[in-house]
Amino acid sequence: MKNRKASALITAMAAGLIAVGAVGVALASGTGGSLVESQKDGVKVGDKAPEFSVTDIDGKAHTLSEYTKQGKIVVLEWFNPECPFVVRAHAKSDAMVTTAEANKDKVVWLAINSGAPGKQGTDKDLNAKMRKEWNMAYPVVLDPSGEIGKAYGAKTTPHMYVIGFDGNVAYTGLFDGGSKEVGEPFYVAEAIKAIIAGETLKVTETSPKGCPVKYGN
Amino acid sequence: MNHATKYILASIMPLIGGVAPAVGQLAPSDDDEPAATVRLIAQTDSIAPGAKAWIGIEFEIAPEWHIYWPGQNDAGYAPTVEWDLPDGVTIGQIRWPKPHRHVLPGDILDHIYEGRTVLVALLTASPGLESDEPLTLRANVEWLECEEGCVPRGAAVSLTLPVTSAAPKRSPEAPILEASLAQIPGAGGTDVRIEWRGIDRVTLTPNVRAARVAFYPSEAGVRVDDPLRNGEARGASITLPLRADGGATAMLQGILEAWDSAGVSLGAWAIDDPLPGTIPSDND
Repeated sequence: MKNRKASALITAMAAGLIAVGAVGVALASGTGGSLVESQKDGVKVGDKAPEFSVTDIDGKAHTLSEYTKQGKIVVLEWFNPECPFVVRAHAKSDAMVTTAEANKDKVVWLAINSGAPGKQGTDKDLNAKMRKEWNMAYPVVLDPSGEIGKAYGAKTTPHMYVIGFDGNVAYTGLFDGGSKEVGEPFYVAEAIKAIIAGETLKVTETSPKGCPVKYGN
Repeated sequence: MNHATKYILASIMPLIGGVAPAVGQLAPSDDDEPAATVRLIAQTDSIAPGAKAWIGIEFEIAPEWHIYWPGQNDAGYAPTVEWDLPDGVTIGQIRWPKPHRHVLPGDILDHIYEGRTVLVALLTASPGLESDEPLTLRANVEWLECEEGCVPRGAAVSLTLPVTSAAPKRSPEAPILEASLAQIPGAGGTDVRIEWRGIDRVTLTPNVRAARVAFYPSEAGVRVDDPLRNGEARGASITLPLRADGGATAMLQGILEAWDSAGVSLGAWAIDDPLPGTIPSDND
């Protein structure tokens, strides 16, 4: 039985794995050893989504390439339960969890908290509590070293990434276009719908808005 | 790009006069007082019919907290002001003082304000205004304030000015407003040399003995590529790589600032220059 650390591991792009162009994410060993400088600005739409292999707060493992192999779309939601923008998306609206639930056959949805230990919103019990309170059926992953966040270039909470069947980033940015309340356009829901239908996405990128991700360094 | 997205909170409590803090409605997860206290101030204590007057939206921001300039920010948005003006009064665009760069771990770049920050706008009173009716200017101000966490806030503020054809006197707040006016960058004009190197690269050189130069790209202008690394340079000039953004923006817009080797600011200039052509996107 593998003994995984609670922190995220980003696995190397070995010959058998797919590494494309500008996204050269290097190995980070389990002891939080150096992560070779991820591409400036993180990933862009069209890039191969950086691989990760992580454990959620319930101890379950999640590996991106496995989900892609299983023919899943993967949605990543950068998360901080103490950020008002995350509260907006979860306490005052159920649009995120509804979207995840409605698409659960084809979509794997993961909430990722890349805050460093001691920073706002990083307490594991708090994350578990708010996950339950907000009826999030999907996992919450803690990324205290920030490796995954930095590999993707996640800047805010929330910050959404939709990865298509091909393992490439299809959409990045906002969940929705509403102002004080969650509302249209529902960018992530539309991206999922287009990917499933094999259509070109109308909107592939929006500027995310939220609290800054609480990286440690 | 959805630059209009705002997280807006209700506002309460109109106030009379240029004094007293405005109190914003509390954010869902934060029961404390806002970090920024907002009020309207004027340069003069009255206004004459047909005259113009500078009005300030003053933020007094608690230590460790900041608000945002409307720049190419990763994690914050600038305050918005919605005016409610009486008949016979119009107000111009907000003039923003120069911000400074704020970098957070994870390569997060924002352009912010700290301490006392005054946004300025020019009020015009129509010649037909009656002298027996004081003017009450009202505004709904919404902003994002951040420290460790971020809290969206809102406040309703107001200011009453008597209307008189007598010569206006400077108000007690005039020095504050005038200090802010000095912080608003003037047009670069001949003080900044702009050299286009193709359609997606530009070098800005201010006419000062600079040891360091920075460019703060406006939200409304063309995107600067990787402004965290490219928005600051040692020496006397700065070269900016620009990004295609769907052809929506044809202007290089922002603020250029320069410092001498001791770190003293030598000036800040507003840059507003049309692009020489449309930058092709990567898909072209």
